[in-house]
Amino acid sequence: MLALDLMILVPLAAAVLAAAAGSRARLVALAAVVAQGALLASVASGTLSETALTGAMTGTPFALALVGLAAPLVALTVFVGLTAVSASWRVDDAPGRHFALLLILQAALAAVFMAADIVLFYVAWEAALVPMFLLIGGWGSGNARRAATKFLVYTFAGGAVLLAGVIYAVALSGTTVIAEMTVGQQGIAQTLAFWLLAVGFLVKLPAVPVHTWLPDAHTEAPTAGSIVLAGVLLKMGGYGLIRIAAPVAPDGFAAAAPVLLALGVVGIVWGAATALVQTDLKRLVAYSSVAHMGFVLLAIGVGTPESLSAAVVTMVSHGLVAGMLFFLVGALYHRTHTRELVAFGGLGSVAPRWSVAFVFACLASAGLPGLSGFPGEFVSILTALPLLGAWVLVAGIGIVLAAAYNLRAVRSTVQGPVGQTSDPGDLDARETATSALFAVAVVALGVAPWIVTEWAASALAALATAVSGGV
Amino acid sequence: MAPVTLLWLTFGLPLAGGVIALVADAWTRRRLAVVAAALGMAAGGAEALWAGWAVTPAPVYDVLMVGRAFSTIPGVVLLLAALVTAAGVRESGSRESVSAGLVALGATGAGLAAASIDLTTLLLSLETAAVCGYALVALARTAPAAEAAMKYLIQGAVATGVALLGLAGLLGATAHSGRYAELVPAIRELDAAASSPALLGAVLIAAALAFKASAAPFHSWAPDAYQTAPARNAAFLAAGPKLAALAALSLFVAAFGPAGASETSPLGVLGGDLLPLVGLLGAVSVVVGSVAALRQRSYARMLGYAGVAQAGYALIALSAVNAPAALILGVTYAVATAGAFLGGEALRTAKPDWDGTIEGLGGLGSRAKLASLALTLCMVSLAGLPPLAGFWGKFQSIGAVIYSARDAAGAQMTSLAWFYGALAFVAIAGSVVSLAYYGSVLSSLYFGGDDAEDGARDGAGEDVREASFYPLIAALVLLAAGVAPLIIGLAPAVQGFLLN
Repeated sequence: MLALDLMILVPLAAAVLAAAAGSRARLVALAAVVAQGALLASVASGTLSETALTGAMTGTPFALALVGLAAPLVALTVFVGLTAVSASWRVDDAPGRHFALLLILQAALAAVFMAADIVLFYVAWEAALVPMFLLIGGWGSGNARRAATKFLVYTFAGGAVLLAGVIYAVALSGTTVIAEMTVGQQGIAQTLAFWLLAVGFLVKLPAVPVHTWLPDAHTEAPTAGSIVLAGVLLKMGGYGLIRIAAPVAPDGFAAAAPVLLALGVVGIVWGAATALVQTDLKRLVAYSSVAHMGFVLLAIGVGTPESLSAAVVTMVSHGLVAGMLFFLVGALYHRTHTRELVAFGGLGSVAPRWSVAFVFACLASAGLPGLSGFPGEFVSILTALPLLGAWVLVAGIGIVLAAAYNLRAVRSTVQGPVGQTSDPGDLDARETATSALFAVAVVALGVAPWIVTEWAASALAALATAVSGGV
Repeated sequence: MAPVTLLWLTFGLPLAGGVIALVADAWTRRRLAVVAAALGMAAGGAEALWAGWAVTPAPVYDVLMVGRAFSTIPGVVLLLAALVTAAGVRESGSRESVSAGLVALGATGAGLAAASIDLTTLLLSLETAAVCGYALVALARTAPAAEAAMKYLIQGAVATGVALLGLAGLLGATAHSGRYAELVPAIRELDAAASSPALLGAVLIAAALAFKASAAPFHSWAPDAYQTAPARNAAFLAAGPKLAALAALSLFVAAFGPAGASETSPLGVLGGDLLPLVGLLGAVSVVVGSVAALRQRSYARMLGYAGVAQAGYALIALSAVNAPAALILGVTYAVATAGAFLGGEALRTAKPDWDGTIEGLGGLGSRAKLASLALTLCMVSLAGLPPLAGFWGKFQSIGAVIYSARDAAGAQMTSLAWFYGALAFVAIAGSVVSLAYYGSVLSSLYFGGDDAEDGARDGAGEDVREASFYPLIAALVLLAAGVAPLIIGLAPAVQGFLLN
């Protein structure tokens, strides 16, 4: 299928074009992302869950395959890319370079999810690093330079360990084809291979002790950068754990599962509690990402087909919800040039469209049933219950805290007396349309989560069998 | 084509170019000098690169080899030398024309060293390159450059002495011939007692080669020389002779090393001691180079210390007896570092009052777009990030030690497995740190404040664009060579770096 290869090559070619197109770069970017989406739509079909689609070139590292697990994430990449282009529509500082970087990111992210060869996977994984670094530092706000450097070094530290893990896994399994890789040896080799791979994924996810790059990067990044970071980049970590680390070293994964569960619970509570005390609206959203990714880690640690499905749903849902929140916060920041919660208030009366969208997104983030945040997190808690017992209540605290910080965000912006930013102006037509697009996707996933899970079901069932030793 | 023809094409053309350049310089035909040297090296280098791809190794005159890595490395050295020489064609002052001749002679010497399979030939050709190197530093005609050149000269002379002592030790203990083909079997015959002078000799030669490759603790000349030499000359020194020294060391270790891997062979005494020493040297270089590079404010000094760390990665790969991995790393380093120096020179065209610091590059990202793009690609490649060529060097090097660790663990040699595991850790830690100092260049270029905001857009646009052309060539080569292995597969991509 040439279409898979084109999904990588079209954005790359468009990036070169955009760099030279100056102020018309945004049209190039829009066309390229739409083309990427059209190519995905042309190959995605009902058979996806049974057999993986492979790209035109195989036998070399540049081998692509669209497996059921990856399809929802590729769709998410396209969707989030579209909104990122929309969010940066009015960038006037070096727009050519901005959209070129965005398109390189778009190609790299799609390649991460579609790589059939672990060498290509690693190349794509690291190729996303420098474009994001330049986006954060070049178009970010406040202390962007420091945040960008921190992002670069921190996630590359994880990536370098991942490289050792990739090489070690290849050395032990004797192949670079992801689908065929499995560590034959028992004992220490399994554990070593799993953790070498997992460290890089956990930094990207991020899990709590190694999450400190995230708040700075998300907060200082330009809106499009935040949207892609939260919407797609974090999903690379969860995808890597499910697609690579666990199948390559199933015994190592089984041994590490309790640690993953614990890290997940800690992430849920820590992220939510920290979000609750933020005074910066964007930082609040950033920390909420840590909490949501905690649910993903919890579900992965459980390791049953149901919980892995929940992990995938949570990842896609968070991509949509966090993307929407960053989009809205970015739109507000663009008008008011502040993100301090105390500066806002009463936006419900002066910016009704923005307020409706923001309340909607916060409810989705808090896990309101019927919206996308609910099914994934609910099932991950439910499946963790037999393993964690009463400890699952700790994760339950996280859910309560999620309601608290989201409602706090709503109260201090939408409600109350009109704040210092008396008349910021409401969303324009482009922004309203983008928000509506987000909202439709959030409702669809909330009502019918199986649109995501049925693609991934058979892959996840096979994985769950592998890690539980076939019982 | 006969191997001997290939050899003469590879080295005869640049030699002729260099001689023409020196004669033309004497007649003050300066531009002719630059053009002749650049063309000679480009033609010889291109031919060698082709031979490296297509020809299986064959000896010539008993002391040199042609084909595969024995041609690829001289080819890369000559092409990079041609690039840095061509970059000076517009100025064509007396410094450029003299430099052109010296670079051509130096590149020929360095290339010969990388093709040598005989210790005497190796040391003579490296010495040729070194003598040109001293003069290339001093050509800046400033007091600091004179001091750096003198330091380089004295340390170089000591290194040569050490190498000769080592050669005497090796030859005295064995066959009275420096050819690897005779030397290695002769050492294999030695009993344990007689092998210690041979080991001492081998260690001394390895140390001298490590000096030429500016590995720690023999590196102190390099940052001074790179900082004070004219930028194009520094580009050549950091790329050509250094790559040649790394290649020579790789061949030396590859010739002696494998026998040491099995501990029962008589050479085990020698090889078993030499390899850990090389690995240790590599680890020290990575640590010293990385820590020092982090603290540098000067761009050229940073590149100098970063080069120490890069030599360290190559030595780490060598300690796993994987010469092709070390050579791939060396070549990607050489191309990227030449591009980095040329890119700095192009940025100086855009900002003539640049003080040479990393911070001083602030804001040039939007003023000199092409030069900044080239510099960005070179930095990313040096940091070993895909999809640039530097990634494959790092991938192969770290892979070499991890594979060795796996094999050692499989053979129940636990301490050896730990040793290689530790080397892998050092290489990985070093590459993480390297992103901080290479990243600081990007950070300055694109996020740094522009101190020339008063509209003083000094440096004509045309000059900047022309100066950006040369580093951009290096950068695009890095990009193409970084993407190519993904499409053609890993095995064909390393073909030109094999020793057989």
